[in-house]
Amino acid sequence: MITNEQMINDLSDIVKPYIQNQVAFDNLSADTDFINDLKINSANLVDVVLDIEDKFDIEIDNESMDKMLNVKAAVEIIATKLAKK
Amino acid sequence: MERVGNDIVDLKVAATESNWERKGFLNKIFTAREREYISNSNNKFNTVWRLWSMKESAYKLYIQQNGERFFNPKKLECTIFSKNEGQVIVGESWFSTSTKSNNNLIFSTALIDKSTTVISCDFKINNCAQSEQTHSAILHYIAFLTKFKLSKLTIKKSANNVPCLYFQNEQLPWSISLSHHGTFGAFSLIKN
Repeated sequence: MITNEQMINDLSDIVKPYIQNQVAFDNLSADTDFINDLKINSANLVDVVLDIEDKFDIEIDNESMDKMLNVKAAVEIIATKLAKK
Repeated sequence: MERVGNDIVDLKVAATESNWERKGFLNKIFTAREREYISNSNNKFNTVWRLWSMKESAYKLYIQQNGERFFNPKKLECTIFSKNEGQVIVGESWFSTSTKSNNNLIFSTALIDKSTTVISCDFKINNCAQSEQTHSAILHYIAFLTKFKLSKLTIKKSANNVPCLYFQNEQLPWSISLSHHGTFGAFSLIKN
């Protein structure tokens, strides 16, 4: 069973190539917003979703992606999808 | 109140930042009908980014009307009418879009009613502090237009990240939209 902490670590590796705000990245927490804080451009947020799918071998449907604006929401969605595997 | 949303794409930067040919990329963003536009196009790269900028501009407008942010590009569906004109449907809302494009950039503006008078401007910026440069450009323009003192004009973001214009501490009933990407900035404004 993968812990939330591990998941945040994996997520931080995934978002790293796309971030445009290093300070927010260095202080990454559950509340970090991908767009407002990390300044990831929205087209690259699609890459983040695809990278998450590849890394965790899950499929993120549009309804789940809808809420994926911050670390907390992403972790919850990954956990839900992993539980269903 | 009339509102506006806009989005600019620096094509050179888009070519390096994103790989639209990546497996799954188009499927996550575009509906079957939009993917048809892309596959039938002689310039697929440009069509991808034109549709994207139409969606982004409409999204920014939709958020002003409806509040809560979301990330679901397929919830917005584009129709292309001509080289410049188009429409985006989001839920119950229909927006008209106008797109300018050349070899360097694609710039879309979305309106509720396409006959609304909107002032839009795109310009070159340096590749750092892009947001500050874009803010500065629109504030200089508004100061010029209104003769308000530049130092008394500010832009504050609402909780949904929508930019709002203030003179001293009073919010002005203007709708503004700001965008920047790579070496281009853009603003659009409607004086209500």
